[in-house]
Amino acid sequence: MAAKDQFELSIHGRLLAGDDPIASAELFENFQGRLVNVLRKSFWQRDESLVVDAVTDALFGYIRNPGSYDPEKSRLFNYLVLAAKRDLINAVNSKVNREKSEISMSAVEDDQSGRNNVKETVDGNAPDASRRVRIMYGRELELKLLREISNSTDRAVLALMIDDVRETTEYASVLGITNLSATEQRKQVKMHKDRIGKQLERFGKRLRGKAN
Amino acid sequence: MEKQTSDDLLERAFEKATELPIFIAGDLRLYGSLNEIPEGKISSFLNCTQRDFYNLGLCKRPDPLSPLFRSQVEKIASYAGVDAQRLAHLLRETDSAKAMQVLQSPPNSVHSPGYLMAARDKEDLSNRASQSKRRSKKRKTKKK
Repeated sequence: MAAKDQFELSIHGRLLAGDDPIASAELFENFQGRLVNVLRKSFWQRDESLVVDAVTDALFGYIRNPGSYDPEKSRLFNYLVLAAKRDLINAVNSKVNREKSEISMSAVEDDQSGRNNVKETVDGNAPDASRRVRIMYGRELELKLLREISNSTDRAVLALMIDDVRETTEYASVLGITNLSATEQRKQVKMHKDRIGKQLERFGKRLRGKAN
Repeated sequence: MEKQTSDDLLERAFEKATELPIFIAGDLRLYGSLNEIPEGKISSFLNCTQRDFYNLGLCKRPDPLSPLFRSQVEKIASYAGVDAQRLAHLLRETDSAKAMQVLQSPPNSVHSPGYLMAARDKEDLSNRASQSKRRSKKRKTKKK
């Protein structure tokens, strides 16, 4: 077993037992930086504080409820990546909604007669329109994709593919086939990736069909 | 395993942890404000580096009333490289200060335990009322 796997299993066991006061700090020392790097790479999100907060909240969530993670289903790191991504999407959604309402508020001002007057200019600090559109389309696309790939294991495999993970062992861990030989693992992983790739192709074709 | 988290990230986690009572971070901040010690100086008081200070804040807070308190403080002190006796003193002091705060808060304050208990009782009563309504509805439909 790799050192990383051993560390993950050990820290998970210590957090589950609940009587080790330093396990939470060790989790942060070893995972927070790596998780932030993964989220930075796989998201277009450039707001560093949103990424850091999402990772921090995901780690706090796991520390408070370690039973939510099942080591049989995936590696702890991948589980935390998914949790942090979920938190990041929620944070981005809230931020976009907040900014949308701020823009609509700042676009209305009282004129001298006391009636509301719609201004042509918008708040200079607000994100530009094209960025807001990109954010909203990204969110919609992700929701559609999650509906398409409904199986949780397939979603975990897809998350690894999106993150450009190459190591077969990572996929084997998500698929729960680490007991198989290396050759068999490669074969099974390829089969799963091909199947998900086909699903994505069909999804893309449908999207293009709707656009036409 | 190699440590992969920068001081800046640990600092941000520490900041957020000060709001969560399960971590020591809140106690470190409270101790500073009780004794008028600036946050940067608490690490000197505990004889540790700033990074160790953040790590310390992210440890789970041991309960001073638990029989495991002493052994847990020693474990934390050895991990974060801080003075165990000073850490134990700090945690006991903040624990007493928190207990005093609870005692001193006015009875109608939203932070007082009485208020929370009353709120929970009210919630329980309304839950029970809606459950009994549901049960009597079921009984009526069965009779029909």
